[in-house]
Amino acid sequence: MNTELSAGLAKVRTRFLIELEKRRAVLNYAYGRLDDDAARAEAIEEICSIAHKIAGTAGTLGFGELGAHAATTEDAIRQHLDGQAVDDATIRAEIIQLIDLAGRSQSNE
Amino acid sequence: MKILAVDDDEIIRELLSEILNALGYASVVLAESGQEALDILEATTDPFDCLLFDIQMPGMDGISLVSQLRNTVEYARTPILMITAMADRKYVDSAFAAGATDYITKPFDIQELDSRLKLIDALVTERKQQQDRNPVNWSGADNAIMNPADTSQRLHIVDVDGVIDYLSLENYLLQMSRAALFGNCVFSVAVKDAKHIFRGASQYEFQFAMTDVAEAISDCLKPFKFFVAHAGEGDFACVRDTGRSFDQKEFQTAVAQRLREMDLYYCDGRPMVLHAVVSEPVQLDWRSSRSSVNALLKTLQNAESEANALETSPKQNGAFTRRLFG
Repeated sequence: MNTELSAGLAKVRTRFLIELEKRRAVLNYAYGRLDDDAARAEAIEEICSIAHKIAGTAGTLGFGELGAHAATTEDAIRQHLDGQAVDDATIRAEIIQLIDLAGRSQSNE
Repeated sequence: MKILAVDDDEIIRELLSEILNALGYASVVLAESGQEALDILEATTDPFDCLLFDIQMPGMDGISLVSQLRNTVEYARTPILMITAMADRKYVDSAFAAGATDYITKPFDIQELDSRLKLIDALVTERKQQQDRNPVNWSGADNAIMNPADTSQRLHIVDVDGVIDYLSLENYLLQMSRAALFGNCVFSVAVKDAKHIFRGASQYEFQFAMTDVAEAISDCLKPFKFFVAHAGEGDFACVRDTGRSFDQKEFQTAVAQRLREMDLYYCDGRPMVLHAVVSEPVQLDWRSSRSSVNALLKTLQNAESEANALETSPKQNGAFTRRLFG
């Protein structure tokens, strides 16, 4: 990898971690709204959208485990929304693990 | 190469900007939505050479954006690389059906992105060279109608269901996993004596005849999921699902029947008689994507060989040629 690319990736990685902190806060807040029937649909959409974004970039920036789990979470939510056999407990467990991994990715830096 | 990259995620836009600059692509414009991309494309006087689109975006998604651009003159053939986290076959199929040139899944590997962009860059350079050599054929000017047909070119055929560019078809196979290709087959169709038939014909006649053949193939594949691409001369490469039920002879008869129904003519009113020969299919079960592309190439060779091997007595041949060229 050339120096210019390494420097560029380091810059984006820093930005990703700053953004990840905000995304983690949104995930936590949205998770808390899953029990509220009126807010649940919007909360699920929000979590899915954040998982999608993390899944799209984390791997390229060196956060492979976080990216892979974000993809699993997104996939589980999409299956759940499509009416496939993914239950609520599974979705919640995936989201909790995603929040946890996001936190660990930040603290490891 | 002037690039427009569209993604609603700011981190991806920054990442692409850094990577593309480091790879030597200095002219990169970023957009955060389909609508912003359309506004930029409309406002620019110097068209972009390559477009990179995400699929999942609020408002207009990347697939709708491809469809919209393929209906414009400026971007009908511009290479479009989808960069998306949507790896499901339904998204891959929809993107290629809409006119995508290539597809790469996020998180992307930088080396892989680099190699795909190099291929696109080579294609852009080759097209520019062709355009410089023969500006009339590329200008869409009326006199292009009378230019002699260049049958070696792989044609860009529009408005026929399931018909995509040849490069896109190869990229489609390369993108698919072994599991996704399971149950599919590849085969090819060759127009017999294409070189003879179109010797002396115009580019216009060649383009329209090949579009008609593509339509005949597409019509006969309608019940299935499929892609067809013109592969130069009178050759077409095809991929179809439920490959085990594909019957070569039955399909050849169906295409021949459809071509007869089309009742084709040259510009001067002479009837144009086209005979299509279909290769044996190759089942793609458990093949790797690269091996699937090789299988496709093999069926193209086979279709050509079968077309060339068809017995035609000199007398019949003469009658055939007279019927075509008077």
